[in-house]
Amino acid sequence: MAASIAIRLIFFILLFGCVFAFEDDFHEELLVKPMKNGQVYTSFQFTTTWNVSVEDEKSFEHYHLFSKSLGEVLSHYSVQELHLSLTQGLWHYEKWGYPVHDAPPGAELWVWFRPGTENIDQTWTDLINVLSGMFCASLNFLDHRSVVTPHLAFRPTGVTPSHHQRLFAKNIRYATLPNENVCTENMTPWKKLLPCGARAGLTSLLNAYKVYDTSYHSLGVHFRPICMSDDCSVHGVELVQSLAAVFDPTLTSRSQDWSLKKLFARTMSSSCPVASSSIAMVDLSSNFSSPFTLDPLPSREEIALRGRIKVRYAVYEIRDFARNQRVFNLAAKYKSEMSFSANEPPVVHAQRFQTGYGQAKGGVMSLLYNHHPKENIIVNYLEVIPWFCRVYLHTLKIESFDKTVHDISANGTIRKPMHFHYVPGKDRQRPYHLELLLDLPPNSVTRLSFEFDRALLKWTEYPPDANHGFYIGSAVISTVVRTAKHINDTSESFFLRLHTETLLITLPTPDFSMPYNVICLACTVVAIAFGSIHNLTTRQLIGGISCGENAVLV
Amino acid sequence: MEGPKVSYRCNVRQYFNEEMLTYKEATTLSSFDDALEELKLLKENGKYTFVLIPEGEVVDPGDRGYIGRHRSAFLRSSKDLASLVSKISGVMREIFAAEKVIAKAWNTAVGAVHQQADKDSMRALQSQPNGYEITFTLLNPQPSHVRASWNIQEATKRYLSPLLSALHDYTNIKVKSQYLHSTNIGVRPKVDQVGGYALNIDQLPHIINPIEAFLGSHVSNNPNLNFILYIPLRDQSPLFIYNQNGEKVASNAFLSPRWGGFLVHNVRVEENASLPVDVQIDERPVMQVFAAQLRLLLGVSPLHHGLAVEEAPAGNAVITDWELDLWLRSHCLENLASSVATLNSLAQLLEKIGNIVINDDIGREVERAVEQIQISHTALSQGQLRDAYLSSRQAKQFSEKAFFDPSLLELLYFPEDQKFAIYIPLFLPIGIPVVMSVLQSLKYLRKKNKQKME
Repeated sequence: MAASIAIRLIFFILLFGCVFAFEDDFHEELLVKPMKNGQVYTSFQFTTTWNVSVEDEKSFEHYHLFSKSLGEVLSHYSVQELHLSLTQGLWHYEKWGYPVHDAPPGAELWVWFRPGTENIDQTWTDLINVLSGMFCASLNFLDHRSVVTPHLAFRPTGVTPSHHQRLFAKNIRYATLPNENVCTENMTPWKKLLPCGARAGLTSLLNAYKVYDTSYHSLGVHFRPICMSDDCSVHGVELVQSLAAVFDPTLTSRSQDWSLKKLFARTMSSSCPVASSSIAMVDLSSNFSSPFTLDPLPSREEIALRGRIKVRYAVYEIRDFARNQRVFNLAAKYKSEMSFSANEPPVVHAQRFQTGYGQAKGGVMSLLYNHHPKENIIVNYLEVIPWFCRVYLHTLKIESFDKTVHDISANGTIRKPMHFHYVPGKDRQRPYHLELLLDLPPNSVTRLSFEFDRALLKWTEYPPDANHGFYIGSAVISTVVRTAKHINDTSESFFLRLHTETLLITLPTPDFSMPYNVICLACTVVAIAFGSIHNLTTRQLIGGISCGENAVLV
Repeated sequence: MEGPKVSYRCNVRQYFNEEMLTYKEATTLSSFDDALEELKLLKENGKYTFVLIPEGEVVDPGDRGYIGRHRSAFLRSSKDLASLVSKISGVMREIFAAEKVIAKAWNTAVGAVHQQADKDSMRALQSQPNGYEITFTLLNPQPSHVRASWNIQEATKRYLSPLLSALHDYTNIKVKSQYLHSTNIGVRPKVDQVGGYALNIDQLPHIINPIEAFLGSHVSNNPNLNFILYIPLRDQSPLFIYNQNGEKVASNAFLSPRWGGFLVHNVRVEENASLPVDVQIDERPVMQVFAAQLRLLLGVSPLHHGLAVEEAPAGNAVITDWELDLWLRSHCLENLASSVATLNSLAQLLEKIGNIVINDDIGREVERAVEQIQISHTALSQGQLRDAYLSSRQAKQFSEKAFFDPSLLELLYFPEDQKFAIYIPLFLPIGIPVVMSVLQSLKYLRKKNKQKME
């Protein structure tokens, strides 16, 4: 029990962003990370900070850099913290490492409401409707049938009103929409929230044709209250808008070379005039395995310590380039034409499958990997299963294996979760919500599996194209690790959140044309019967002798 | 359709001693007007005082007469009673009660009389029971050249709060502001003769289209009034707005009906100035223009009367007390008329679509609306303007709620044709033998007739 409390404390770690007392500030940042397999990860981050208290509704009336349309929504629905991501494609942890902002395929939204918010469920309903209009996404489907109140997985990332802590714990809502298709219509409203719009600065690179032609892209909006002074006496708010895309330059040409022009089909001629800083960074860690040269030369090089690992970055001050009226086209030229190497998998990652066969029963199996050679890693595993998969908790099995064992169908060491939180689902009302705190031994694979029954839906509940199947959202794994190649953290240990694959399951689906077929068949039978009876009763039957014209049946 | 009936009650009295005292202290008409207001003897919506002052006093309303900021008019008393009475009734009917304005408000809202669209009725927003949102936007398309800032919070407090507090009891107005950077207007100005740039009247409708997307609000259904302060591009300044006669508009602003106002603020950037140039915007002239536009948009229009009377300017208050009364009166009638019209069309809808289901909630809303309409009518006939307005507002809210209830919308789409589609497999095969035998029997009968004829 004591251990569980200690672990809980770890999850309370808050990430403070300390900014000095300005009215408001805007920073734009681009990170380019060439990966060892030839793909290029680009991550844009636009940060707006504003020194108003999130609790003070009066201050959300006059806006400067912060977007008015979003600010109004946040203050009207008493949002303490909001994290929205819209993603297309799956992030491959084994190949790509960890992203800056982790996001599952589809849409994910989690919101902390301010303490004292009355009727949170209603507020959530109103909020998702507004957001779905704002971002042109079907977020309005994140209703009570898919929303849960996570216990440990999602803690506030910003400053919390400490005196309300107990009341606060129930004020979170989390929901995902795994089947959401993300495209330009989501990016256009997202761009509108930026103070420079799409015209100047790094946003001018965001060419929807190119960005949505990638194997992975993710839009994010993250709002949280932060400290504006060192002693945290002044609170402010921070809005981070992120966009990540993984390009594959080797697909279109026979070389590994990339440039901003090649990736985005655009170049940049100015920085955003209202931005306090405008930076592009290139991660040089893959420079050892496949050496490349950068053109133009960076303004400076920086070495950052990322969890005991040194990472070198080439940093460009875009404003310097813009001032000299030069077009900023960052390009990398590789020494050899193609040189790929395999990426070593990150410390923790996971995979999830669907098990079972037939249309009555099914199961879910997750494999959680801990690649750390010596240390145990404690992870929190959150699974939200829609109500139409009726989970049998007694079938939950957690076993761990040595990493070298390949046959995972064998029996391993049975593990008990350190902490266990389960809210059973209710038909058409709420999903199944399972949270487990697991201790992953070093160099191991942990197998977690459970079974469920597939429900038969009412005929109006099937979506259009019901034979496509139904999605189960990603499982969320949150943990604190000591070492990993992570990007925006310099502390000794840092918080990590990963998402697994979504699952597509088929439910027993009726033949929807059947009612009409039945109607047609029944009507035909009735019509045939009617026709013959009608004939029999209305025609005069005169048998036998032919009597000239009178013999005609009438 | 005849307009609403207006009836007046009047009585005549001597001054009270307090009034005489203030009169003796006053030096000008407007100070006397303010002092009378402070006595609070006359402070009531819908009641007006005519103060008759003999000729040759210090405080002289002149031959034309003077209408104060509050609810009094000052006239010079004369022996010619007939002309005095006609003056008083003229001021009463055309200014204080503004019968024409009220009749027009009523008729427009009822929608019974097809009215020629005129500027006054098109300009103002229709009466909104829930309130308005006002957004001030500083549009700076070139933040790399001009770093403009305004203290809009202070400015709205100083220049708009009298108006907001005057309307506070009657409508809910929220004031917000924002900056828009790097967004530009939708038209390219032309070069004018004097070295500046010109926006002609035919270009004005296209200006707001590109910025419109940044102005709406996602949290409120109330209509939004936008006031935009535009700083022209460096290579397009100075920029002036020209009217239809080809003259510069003195205020360099224009008003878009039911939408808001647009003001061009030219900034001088020296050739060799280091960029960006810091510009602090002087709020006073800006807010004066916006306040004047706001008056028009809210429906406090100037009266077109033929009377030779001097009117006290509203000044800082933006709206005078008698204008507020007039606003209440016309909006009250507008609310009542549109509420009645809404209920009528709901009834028509019911008659037209038989299978629509009205649930109890909607029924209750309709009953409440009718009740509030009746209350408002009684209050109006007793001259209680405030109560009448408040219940008319509620009546409008209830009737709209009933009319726009989502449950009505669901049932509106009741596909009759699909029923037939389903029954066609039955009707068609059954119909064929029936039709055939009818034809056969017709043929038989005809043949029989022929045989008889023979």
